[in-house]
Amino acid sequence: MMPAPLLEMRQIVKTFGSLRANDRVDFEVRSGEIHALLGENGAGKTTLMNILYGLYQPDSGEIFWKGEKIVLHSPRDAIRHRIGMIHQHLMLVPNFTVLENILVGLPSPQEPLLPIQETLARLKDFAAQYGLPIDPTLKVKQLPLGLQQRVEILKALFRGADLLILDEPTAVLSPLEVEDFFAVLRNLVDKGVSIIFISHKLDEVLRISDRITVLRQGKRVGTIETRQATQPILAEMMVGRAVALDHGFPKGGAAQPLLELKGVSLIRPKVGRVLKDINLTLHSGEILGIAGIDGNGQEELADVICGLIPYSEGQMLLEGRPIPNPTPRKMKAAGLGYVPADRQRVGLVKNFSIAHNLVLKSFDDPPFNRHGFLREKVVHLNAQQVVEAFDIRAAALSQPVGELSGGNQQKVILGRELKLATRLLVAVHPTRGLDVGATESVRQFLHAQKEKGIGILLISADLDELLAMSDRIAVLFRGEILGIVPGEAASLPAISRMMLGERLEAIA
Amino acid sequence: MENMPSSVFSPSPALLRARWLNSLQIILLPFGAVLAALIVGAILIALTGVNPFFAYQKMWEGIAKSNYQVGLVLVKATPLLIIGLGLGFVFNSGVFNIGAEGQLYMGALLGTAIAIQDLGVPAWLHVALSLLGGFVGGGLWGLLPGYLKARHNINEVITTILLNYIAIYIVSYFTHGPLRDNPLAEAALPQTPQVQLSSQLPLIWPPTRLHAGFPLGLGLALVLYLVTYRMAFGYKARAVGSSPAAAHYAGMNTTLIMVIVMVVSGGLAGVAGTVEILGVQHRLRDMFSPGLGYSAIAIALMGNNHPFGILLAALLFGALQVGANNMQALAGVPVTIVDVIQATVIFFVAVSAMIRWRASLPRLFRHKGEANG
Ligand SMILES: Nc1ncnc2c1ncn2[C@@H]1O[C@H](COP(=O)(O)OP(=O)(O)OP(=O)(O)O)[C@@H](O)[C@H]1O
Ligand SMILES: [Mg+2]
Repeated sequence: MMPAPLLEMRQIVKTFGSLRANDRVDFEVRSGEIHALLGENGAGKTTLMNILYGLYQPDSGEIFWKGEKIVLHSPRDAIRHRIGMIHQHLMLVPNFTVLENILVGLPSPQEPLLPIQETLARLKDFAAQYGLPIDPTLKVKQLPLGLQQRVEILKALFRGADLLILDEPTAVLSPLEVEDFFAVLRNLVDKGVSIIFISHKLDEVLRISDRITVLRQGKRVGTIETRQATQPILAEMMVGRAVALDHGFPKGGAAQPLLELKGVSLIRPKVGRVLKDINLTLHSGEILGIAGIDGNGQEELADVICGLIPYSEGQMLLEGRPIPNPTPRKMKAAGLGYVPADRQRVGLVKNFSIAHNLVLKSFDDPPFNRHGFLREKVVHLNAQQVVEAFDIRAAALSQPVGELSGGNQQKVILGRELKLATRLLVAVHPTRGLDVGATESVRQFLHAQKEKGIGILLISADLDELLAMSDRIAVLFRGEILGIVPGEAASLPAISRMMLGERLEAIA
Repeated sequence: MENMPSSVFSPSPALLRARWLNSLQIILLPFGAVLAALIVGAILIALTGVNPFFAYQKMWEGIAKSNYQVGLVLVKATPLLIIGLGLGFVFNSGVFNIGAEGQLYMGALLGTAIAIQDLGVPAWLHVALSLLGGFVGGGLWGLLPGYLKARHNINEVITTILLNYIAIYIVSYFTHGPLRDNPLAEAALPQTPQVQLSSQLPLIWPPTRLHAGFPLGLGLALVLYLVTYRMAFGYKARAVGSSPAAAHYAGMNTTLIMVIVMVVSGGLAGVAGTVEILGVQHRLRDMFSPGLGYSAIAIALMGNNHPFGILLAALLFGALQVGANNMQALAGVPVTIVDVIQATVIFFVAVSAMIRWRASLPRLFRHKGEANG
């Protein structure tokens, strides 16, 4: 006889309007395992986990925890049962320090005073015990995403967790950070914590998990031991048919210079130089990759090029003509599309509908605008096209975009920006959160655009993606470009070393 | 694909039902607030020894007994409606203008200054010029905090509150000094002379007091509805309100938009002040507003910042006011109790607005994740 599982969810049903996000799903987690949850965008993974964390109430179904039936009315109940969750989109207060973020909502033995000393001491303990060192005095907004995530994990551990739900924790981590992260996970398991791990990256899932459950369109397809799984098996389980998994793209085809940065620097008050003397040329018909550990100036570089932040020094040229004061409007007019890193806060207006988000940058332009009025019919038609082309799964075009699954939100941004990119595309983590099928079609689309002569700046934490797509790869470290290498597998060692701060000249 | 909706292009019946329930909730919550306030009021009235049913009967008669009373309700609702429209507009953009009171005073000042001159122009033109003056006066008083917020990120709540005091004292100065009616008379009141006949708003439903300001308010509600929900500018203004970072990213001129909505909101408060002078009071008195600019904040919240919701809320407040006056006169309910009932309405409206606001938060921050849209 097997021991009773730690967690058993039985016949869970959750509907939103007419959409069955979870359809009689059975799911179980054994004590001490890392259980991966897989499925296409919108398959219902996040919904199932939100139910387990008490954020949603299931329409029907039961949850058994440590052998007993429980009902979760709110996250507070889940925390009381020692279930912790780290969301797909991190939920820290950016302006608070690490310590303050951990203190938020923590019960204090000496109310109304905060248990600051105790917390600091326990932080030290945790750091040693789980291998999670962090400086508690730093503001969260100053931390790279990998460390922000560590704060979320610490937060969950502080509240006590026998089961940790991790919703796409590795989506934005660079390979090195993923290694650290996996070491932490193994450590947690050794200390008796069980883990549910959601990811679209099959290789990661195969490496870290013990068992895998696959969802498709709200239903459970099956659960298999990781030992018996391979990438093609998993892909077929998720999609329902065999899928071609990533293959390389033909390189070359770069023509004349399109975008040139000459000695561009960005100085931020209180922070200092975030970009240092950037010299970079993007050619038309070229994909130029930017590698680097998150937080080394990638987002600022993208923001500067797209006119969101004015640069402090240097010169930017588009087809040889200088652009002294780029603004988002000017750059859009010049044929630039921009897929930003922060899709929730920057890329979308969450309470606007899908249709209106798809014209977010075109409210003033024909054919959507006539005499100042928005032509809803045209807006709607445009949305129909994009939704179909990008396979955006939603209940209706009028649905607020904030209600879409993470991957479908990303598709809305891609659908808008790829259309606007008639000359130039700046894409930060473009396939982040996309399932294997969608990732593949976006990559193919990017490649097709490149063949048409569009220049693409591809900023990604995913080295495999960069190597598969880019003609050349530049490495950013602390706001500086340490070297540019060809986009081929042979460059990998050099890239990895540059990501840690070595200059190309020093390596060669 | 049986669990995907039949078509993503037209909302499913279930979704439409959920949307409808949601709008129902938006309408029902404020009415619940009013009901709750009336119940609290009934208890207070009973405590003063008056039969609450009798009192409320008088209140209802005060609202609807005759055309005259209905006209009064509409007259009371007019300034609240016009200010509320501007406030709903500015709140949608995430700018919290608390300065409608001051903007109302400055608008009334400039509007009256024009209305008391004998310009020798046709009446419609004199009215139009005075109203324009009102818009400019209030608009300038909104421009300043709008600019400070947009350009220098100075908190508009603080600046607008401070500007309220300044505006009220400026009007005091003018009604005591330069614009005082008959300044040499012994017992001259701090007020301006009567506005010219040519600038008075015509009465449109004699013998009631209803003046042309009310249809003007209705027209403005329609215009603001079109601007907010049909025109590109409204989408941009709302994008700035819900997600400033996304608005900037999308190339919207967030600074300019914030300034524009502040000017419009201040301008409408100024128009409301001028309408009150041209249509009802006919001269500008020191301290003439009983806090219209503050009540209108509650009205905008209650109307969910939507022009038509604001119209309903303004009518409701107008009715409560006229009815309460009648109740006081004919049922002997002390005037303080009437004030308490009105304040309680505002309190419950604020509470219900909070409930709705929480319900609109991303589901992750809520405890019960019911699907309603
Ligand atoms: N609050 C909500 N209101 C309406 N529909 C919702 C809501 N939350 C999720 N959905 C819908 O339920 C479906 C499942 O969403 P869910 O977020 O669980 O997907 P997911 O498997 O996590 O996908 P992804 O990999 O893209 O994150 C989607 O079609 C989504 O649009
Ligand atoms: Mg998800």
